[in-house]
Amino acid sequence: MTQQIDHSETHTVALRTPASVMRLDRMGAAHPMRLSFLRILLRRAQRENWQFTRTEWNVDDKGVGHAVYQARGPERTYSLIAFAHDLPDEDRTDRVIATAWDATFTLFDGVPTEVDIHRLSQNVPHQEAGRISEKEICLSRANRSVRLFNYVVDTLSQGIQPDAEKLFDVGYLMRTTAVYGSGKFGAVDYSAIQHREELQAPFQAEMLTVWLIRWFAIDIVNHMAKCAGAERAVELDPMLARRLGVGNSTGLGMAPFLVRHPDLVNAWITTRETALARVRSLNAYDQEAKTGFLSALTAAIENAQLWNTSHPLQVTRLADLRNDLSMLDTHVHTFDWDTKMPWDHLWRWGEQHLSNEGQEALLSLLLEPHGRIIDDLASDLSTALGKDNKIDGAMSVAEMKEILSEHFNWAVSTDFQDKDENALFWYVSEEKLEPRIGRVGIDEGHELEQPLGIARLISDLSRDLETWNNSDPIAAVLMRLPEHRLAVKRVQQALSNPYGEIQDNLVGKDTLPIDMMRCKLAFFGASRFDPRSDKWVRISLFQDMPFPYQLVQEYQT
Amino acid sequence: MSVSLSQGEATAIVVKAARGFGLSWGLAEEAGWALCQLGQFGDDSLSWFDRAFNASSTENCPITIGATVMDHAPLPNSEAQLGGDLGLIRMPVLLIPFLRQAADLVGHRLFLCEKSNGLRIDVTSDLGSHIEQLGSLPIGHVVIEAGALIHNDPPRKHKTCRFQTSMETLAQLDKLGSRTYVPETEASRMSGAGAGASDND
Repeated sequence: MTQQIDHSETHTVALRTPASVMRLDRMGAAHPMRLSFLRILLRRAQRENWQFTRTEWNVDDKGVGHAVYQARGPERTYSLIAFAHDLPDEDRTDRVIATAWDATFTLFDGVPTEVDIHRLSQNVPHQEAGRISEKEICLSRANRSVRLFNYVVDTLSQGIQPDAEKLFDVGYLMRTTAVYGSGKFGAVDYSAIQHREELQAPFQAEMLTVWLIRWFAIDIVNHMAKCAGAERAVELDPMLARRLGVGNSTGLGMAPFLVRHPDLVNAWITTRETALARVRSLNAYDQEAKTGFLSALTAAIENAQLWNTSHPLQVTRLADLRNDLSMLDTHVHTFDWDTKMPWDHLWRWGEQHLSNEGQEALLSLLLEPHGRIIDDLASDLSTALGKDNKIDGAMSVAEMKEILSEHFNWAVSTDFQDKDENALFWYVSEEKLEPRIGRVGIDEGHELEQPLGIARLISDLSRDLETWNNSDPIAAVLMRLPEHRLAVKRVQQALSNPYGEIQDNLVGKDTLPIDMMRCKLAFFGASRFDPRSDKWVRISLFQDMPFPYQLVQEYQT
Repeated sequence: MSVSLSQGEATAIVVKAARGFGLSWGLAEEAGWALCQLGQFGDDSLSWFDRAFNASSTENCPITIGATVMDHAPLPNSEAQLGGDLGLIRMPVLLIPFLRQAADLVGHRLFLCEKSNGLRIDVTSDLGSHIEQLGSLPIGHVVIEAGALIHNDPPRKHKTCRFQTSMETLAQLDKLGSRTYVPETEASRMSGAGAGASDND
């Protein structure tokens, strides 16, 4: 069973406060780390000696057909079924409005029969317009990189390897545009399989799906090159392939998740902060950890150099990061490692000298060599099954006001009479049933706003409570004012979810949805965060990491 | 023709339909929670929500009344403590999850009594055939009776259910849910999702 986080865990060093870490500008500087979900998957697969096999490759010389990849763990087998398509260039788009893709995928629970594959071939290529069943866990699709895919096929077909610099500049051959899980489009609910040990950490099935897609991307490029070049063709050098991840294009659909799941967000952030506090609390360093830290720092500096982006905001942040890492590199070489609590000293130096980008990168670097004392925290990243957060109707108005005062000053103190604080609204588009952001007074649909402006909902509740007696029970308030039910629940949950709320106004003029996305994607383990606007981003997953078939031999935990 | 839905899908459909029907977002979430609780009892619990929301106003709504009873349960002299007359309620079967929760809070059994049809159901027990009988009532006059203390009932296990329903029910609920959507314009299609940079490279 999933463990509850032990909030009573004590350290010499306290956890950073919610007021510090739950701000959008800091969340938008998050980096992948040792407890990121794909890293947890890789460690498990290696520890348990999972076996990976491509069991079927039925793709023609136009690149059309299907393939099956199996991942066999100690108790269960999962299969990625990949459908390869011949997509005209003009139909290729990463946006959710797309209706066709270069490849479509599903993660099957077990080993599929021919009947299963036939059924899925009628549905998976249609993605949202098709149906899958409780035998399937994930549904996904990917497009080829226009910059890279055909170039790599061409070079390999002529018997030569592609230019490494060009390869790394893009970083991937294929880019997923959605990885759906947890009951979407008929798939099995996560709550029905969460009891499986290998799926207890968040998004493990989704990470496995993407990892196997990365394998497929290499196979399809080699296949196409072979079809074009026959005997002249060569396969992509494994060392070059290793440097390629899977791209991912992510839009607004991801952002509301963090608002709608305060208990899960609390688990993620508490776990990360607990890990940081454990490392900072160490009295002394050991040589292995120091070497691991310095090695991770070198890799981070290289990664920051290879990281490309054209978005003005991220360009600035990236410049900050490069500068910060350079300062850190200088600092650690004159740092007195024999001082008491050296990791804490290093952290506090970072807080004084580095930007948010640099500080969050430092967090990731500090965790990296300390698996021995933090890896067990992976089991705290999920929330308990079947947990019902029901409203405590007996709570008095006075008690509610006390919680508001103690935990929600960031919301209550916001002046929502100011138009800039009420500038945006979140809505669901009729066309694609996806979240969107509108501008108040400019775009239509404000009256159909989704309840994501938590700060304003809390502020409204606080204002209306002023007309009630302190001894009145919340049940009475809600009977008369049911519109406050959602806010009341959030406030009551804050006591057990101190890191559950993003402490910023999500409908304010300057809100950047990409900050929410980056936080979530960093927990996934994504790197090379590259905003394409303030509302959608490209990232890379599994870049520089082993392929499934390389894991047992190569991966160092 | 029927369709099989995951619990996540069914919950999302009911939450949106409840909101489209006119409930607050908080109450709409309670409707979604109630569906998950009812999934283990009924063959087509989605249809109960469809019928509950097929009304011109939110008066006599089982979600609103059920949530109110549940919220008040721990307070002295509440209906869950002493019993009471809840009046006319549409689709009274939807009260079951709220009354079960209320019974857990007060620590004694609760009986849902429907006066017109002489039904008396212990909501904390295995509901068996009672649930379908109750589910067939479009409206009922409901009275709650408090029963004996709950002593040794095993804790209820969380169960994830699949939901089977007809295409007609699904269409009706989707239609209500669509009241929460904003039609796209060409301008919103571009700005609302943040397009503007090439996504095909």
